[in-house]
Amino acid sequence: MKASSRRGGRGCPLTKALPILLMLSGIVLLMLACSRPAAKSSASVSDKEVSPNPARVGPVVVRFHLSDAAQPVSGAEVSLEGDMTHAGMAPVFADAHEVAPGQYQGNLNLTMPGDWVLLLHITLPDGRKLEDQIDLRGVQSS
Amino acid sequence: MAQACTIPEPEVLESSPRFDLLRVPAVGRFLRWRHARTVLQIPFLIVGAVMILHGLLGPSLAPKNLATVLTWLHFRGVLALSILAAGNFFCFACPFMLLRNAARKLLRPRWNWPRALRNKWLSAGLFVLILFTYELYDLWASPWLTAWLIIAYFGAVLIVDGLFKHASFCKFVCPLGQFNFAASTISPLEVTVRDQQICTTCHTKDCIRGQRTPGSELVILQRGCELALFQPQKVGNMDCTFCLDCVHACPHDNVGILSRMPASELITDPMRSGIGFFSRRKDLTALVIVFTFGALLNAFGMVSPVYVVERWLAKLLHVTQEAPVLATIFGLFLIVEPIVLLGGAARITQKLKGTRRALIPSMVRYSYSIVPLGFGMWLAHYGFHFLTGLFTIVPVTQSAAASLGLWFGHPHWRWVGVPMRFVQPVQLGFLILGFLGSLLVARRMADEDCPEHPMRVFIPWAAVSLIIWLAAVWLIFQPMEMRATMLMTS
Repeated sequence: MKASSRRGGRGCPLTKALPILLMLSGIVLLMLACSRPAAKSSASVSDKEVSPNPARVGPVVVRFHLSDAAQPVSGAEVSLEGDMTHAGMAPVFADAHEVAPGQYQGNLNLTMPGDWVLLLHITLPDGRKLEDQIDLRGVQSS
Repeated sequence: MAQACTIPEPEVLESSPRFDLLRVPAVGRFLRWRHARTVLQIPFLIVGAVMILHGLLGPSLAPKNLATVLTWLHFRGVLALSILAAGNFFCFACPFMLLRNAARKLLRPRWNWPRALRNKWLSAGLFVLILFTYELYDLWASPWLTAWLIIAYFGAVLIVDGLFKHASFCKFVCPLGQFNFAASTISPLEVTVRDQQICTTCHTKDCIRGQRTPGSELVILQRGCELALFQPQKVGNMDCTFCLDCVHACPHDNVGILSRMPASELITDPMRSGIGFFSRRKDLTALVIVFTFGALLNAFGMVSPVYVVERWLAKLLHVTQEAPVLATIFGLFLIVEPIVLLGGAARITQKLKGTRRALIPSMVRYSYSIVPLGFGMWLAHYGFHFLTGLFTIVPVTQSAAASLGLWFGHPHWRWVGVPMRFVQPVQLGFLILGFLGSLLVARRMADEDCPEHPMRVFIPWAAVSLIIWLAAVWLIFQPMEMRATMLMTS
């Protein structure tokens, strides 16, 4: 075999392409870093509460208060999502409903003991989106 | 009085391969292609870069981030399954080596790896450190820390192989590589010579020396094995990264990827190129212990009883910090338990006159029998996460793409994976396979070392495997508890 064809990796076009790959990665980094953050909403979530407390595997009730400029927000669409802190575990979903002006409540069924994060996906009546979360540490067996 | 069995003379394994992956159409042709490794490394490098970026800049919730999902679900699962099904192809496609090779074009290493560190002690220690860090800092729950772990890995490769010649990082440092080396002793394929006779007439030894320019010995056209594995005396997969440099360097086309009986390299004890005798390598035994008992430990960290043990230990030690409690559990699993089980079995083997070896050499020799069981436990654990979270990569990729303005549709967060009720029998199957493998290895070792009275060796070491297997089965039937905080309720 010719010596020139034995040059393992030396001058290989694929390894020459490495700087280009790194540059592309840099571009992706910049795109991520420069991506525009979601518009800030003045609406806020307060009085977040999960019962029973401490939470146990099984049904839990999630309550919170939604306000905007100190006024309760009615008519928002709220979906709840429960994720475990470990990837790969089945998330749980539910909708929350308004039980009093600005007061929302939903039921989630926690399926496993451990650490959970509850996400509140909120769409305000004017279409603005709001996200909040509740950390539920150490959910115990029922 | 019963006579103790003699120590057999080491012998070189005769292999009778029937299948050669390099002879398979298309696949073999691709693998023999000089740039095959690079072609596989590039996508891994890109995925690695994406994982780092998403880990640092993406969502902080682990199930929504590519760094954590890919690292702790898919990478580990595919790695273990590919080693079981074929061989150490993850080292073959290792993206760290691509970056290292690029860096070495700019900076050539000057030193040889220190003689005192030419063993597995450091890498076994780093293996423990990674397991410990994983538990202490809840790496599975932190995309940011996972990204930094990958960055640290890239950095370590560049520093070690930037300073030291050959594949020092792979052979003496890389904890992931050590996992692959230990696990791939069970693989059905190995890189080995096709015909020993051809090697006996070969004078150039290019597989280890590399191909050099005629007339100018200093110019290497194709490097030989960087891990000091001389093909004619190489036995099995230990220390083999499947880089296929030897395949490319051999002027006689006498190196293939051949089939063999899985775990066969654990049974006999020949002199191995680049390794020596397994039975004289205490550092390798330490690696095997970390590999096997670490599998139990890693799984134990995810089941409910760990809470009880942690609280009890915290009370006993009068501490509220996690580190000392974890360190104690690690000590129990990786030091006390192996000493009791393996030391006990070695002592009983001596008492039964099954061996004339001293206690430690006996322990070293037969501890390799537990490797299949250890791999079975890793498969059960990693296979569980991989299968139960198989489809989560879809919504996470959709979500990551959306953050870049690329529209792959609404993330299907309800896509998870195979239901647990189907996965548990698979886990049990892996454990049974591992157990049978360990029994088989122990029995064959007994036949090798003590043909007159093999039961004197087999029974104590089969008992060790049985105890480990029962512990592993108990673990997989425990209720899962995905926790990131240990002592919060203590």
